[in-house]
Amino acid sequence: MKVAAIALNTFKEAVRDRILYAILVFALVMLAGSTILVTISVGGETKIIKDLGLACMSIFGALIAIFLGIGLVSKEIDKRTVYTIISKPIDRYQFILGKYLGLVLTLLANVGVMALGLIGLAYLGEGISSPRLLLAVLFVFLELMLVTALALLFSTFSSPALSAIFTLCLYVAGHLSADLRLFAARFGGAATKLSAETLYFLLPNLSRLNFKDQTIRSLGTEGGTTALSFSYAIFYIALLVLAAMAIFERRDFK
Amino acid sequence: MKRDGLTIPFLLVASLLGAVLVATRLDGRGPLATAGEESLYLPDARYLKPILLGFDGVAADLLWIRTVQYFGTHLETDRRFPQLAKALDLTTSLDPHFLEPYRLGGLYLLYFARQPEAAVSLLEKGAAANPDRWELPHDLGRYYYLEARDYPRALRWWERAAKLPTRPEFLPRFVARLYAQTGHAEMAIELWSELYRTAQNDFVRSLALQEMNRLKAGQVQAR
Amino acid sequence: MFAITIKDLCKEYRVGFLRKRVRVLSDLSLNVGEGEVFGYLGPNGAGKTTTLKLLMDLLRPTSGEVRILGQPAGDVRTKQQVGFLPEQPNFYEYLTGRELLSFYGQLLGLRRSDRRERIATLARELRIDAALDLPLRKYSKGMLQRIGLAQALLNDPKLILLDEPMSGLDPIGRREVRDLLLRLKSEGRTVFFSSHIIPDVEVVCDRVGILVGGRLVARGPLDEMLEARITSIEVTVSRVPPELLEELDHLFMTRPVTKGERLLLTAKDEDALAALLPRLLEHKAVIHAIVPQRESLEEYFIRHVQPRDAL
Repeated sequence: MKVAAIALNTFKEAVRDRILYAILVFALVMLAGSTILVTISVGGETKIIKDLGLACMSIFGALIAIFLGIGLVSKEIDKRTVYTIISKPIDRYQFILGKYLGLVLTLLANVGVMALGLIGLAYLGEGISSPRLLLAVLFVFLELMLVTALALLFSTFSSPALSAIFTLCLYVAGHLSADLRLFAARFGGAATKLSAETLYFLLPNLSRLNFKDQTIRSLGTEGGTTALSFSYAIFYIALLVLAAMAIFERRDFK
Repeated sequence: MKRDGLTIPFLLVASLLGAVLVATRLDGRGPLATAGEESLYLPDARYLKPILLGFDGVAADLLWIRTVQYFGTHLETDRRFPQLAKALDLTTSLDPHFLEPYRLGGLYLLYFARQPEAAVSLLEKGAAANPDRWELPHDLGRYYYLEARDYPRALRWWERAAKLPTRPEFLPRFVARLYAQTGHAEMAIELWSELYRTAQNDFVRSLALQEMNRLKAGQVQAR
Repeated sequence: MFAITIKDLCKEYRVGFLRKRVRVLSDLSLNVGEGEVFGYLGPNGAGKTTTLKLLMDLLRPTSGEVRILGQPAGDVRTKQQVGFLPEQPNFYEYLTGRELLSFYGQLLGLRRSDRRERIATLARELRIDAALDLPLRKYSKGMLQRIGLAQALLNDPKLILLDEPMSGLDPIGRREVRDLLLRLKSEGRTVFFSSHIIPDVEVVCDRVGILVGGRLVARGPLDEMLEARITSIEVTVSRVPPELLEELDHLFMTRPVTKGERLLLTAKDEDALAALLPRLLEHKAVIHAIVPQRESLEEYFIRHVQPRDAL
């Protein structure tokens, strides 16, 4: 109940943020633009639309997650709005949870709008609905939830600018972590391998959450892999949010 | 949740273990058939270029590294390379002056993927984009000489390469020998040994060594 | 039971790149009884806000103990009975006053109907009902202070902590807050508030504590603290011969001041007055008034602050 109040208020704040609309409008324009692009392509029209649509959702969603996420906690402390909230009968972890869920709700609304546009365009192109696309959308959303949790975590102890840099770096590293391990295994010595292995397990492995190709090219995905990837995302998100709570629990509000 | 200061750390450790456990189980499923595909998700260069915001070179480098990984992974497993030609084409479209993808990619396509047409069109694309480099016409000439045994074409490409100021000294010799139409086997060995001498990685060197040995064995047999 | 118990409280911050320790509060011990209005005084930077934040669990003590209504600071159920107004409060400026108060009401677990009723009552009492449906970004500083007071009182708290409640207010606003404090006192609530505006404190407080440089230098009922020290005695007279004034000059603290017909003399202390009065009567001077000048809180303040600042 109290968490819901904080979440809804965070949602309200995000919805009034201009950054959100700038990004959302740009994403929708890109999506609409893809329909023009396909006219100069030969074949694969719906594939291109789906490719671009999912890429838009992923990239612009990540931008929203990062730019709204980095201020989630630090802005509350800077603007001193946190004082009156923490002085109310709530636990600090409830505040973190509420802030996180509020931004997730915002992302859900955004991804929803983009997904509707994409499925609509795919329907116009193919004449059939493509429910498998929803699997890719689900994993794009999980990835965005993870990026939001990263931004939230950094936001509990560093400034928005630094948080943005950290989150962006981890976002990129998260997409490359599988390669990192591969390189280390091929070229590195024992120490390099060990540290690469450790990094590999600590960094979010975002390529595991990338189901874009499988769904677009209708490649088979085993149910087991999907379920494991899903639980990987959930565990990792829990890890990040709990870490944010642990840090926030110990924080002084100077 | 009680305010005992232990619940959050406990859950934290639990979810870390959970994440690592699931990650290991996912890895346990091996390099998924789909994972290889995923690692080479290739859009068309026409659409990719505008959104790279001028970082085409970096993108080409990254894609090249990924292509090499793709090649390596499939070389060790199924020896099938359905995405290779497209990946090389995209890499070279992003950075047309990056020579390695043409040259090494040409070798990959010819000797492993067995796609000579793709190799030729890749090298021709490179030669067209880099008219001042001798390497690409040289590689094309080598292909026509060794694999297609189309000597007039090989001659044409080598002549073109030999006219470039940066060419190595052996190129005019090739041209002269080709005009004389003599000693094909020696020339083939010489071509491979040049590659062996100038190659910068073990992979190419072992390919050259293997081909040289094969040719030498053939020579002995012919006598 | 005390409403607030502070025992041997120390707080250090780590500042700058080298994380240098800076001590903000040293060995602070203080009890505030239930139903008491306690004024927490001190110059800027003395550590008043730090103390209040420690009481609200916004900061964690370096050492020592803080208890609120018998429970450790930060206890969620205890916070249900506490209201807090931070210094220069800032709120979500995109919300209207009503939305903001309703949000805090939700955090307090108030039911919808209770929230509506409570907000209406407080808005009337604090005279913000006209602005209640405007976004907070349009509020003046004084209006924000009132919204801040409203959110602090939303849960009908037993204990109210206010950080500089009078700052940013015009004289009328200040008077209203003073009246509010008096009313809260009459309702039997405990109020702990910090201020550096002395006249406000003098009227409403049962007891005060004076904090200078992170140490509590004095505490007690205000009149006791001030009565102890008479600084001078003003005597208003007329028809005094000028030569007498010259003769008595050594008894005066300042030179005599003429006020029309009358003359204002300032005797240094009671001994000086005892020497002065017989001489005046001898010369048939008319004495209109004798007023002992007590030290004002302000002077008291300055006396305690200056030697430390000189260090």
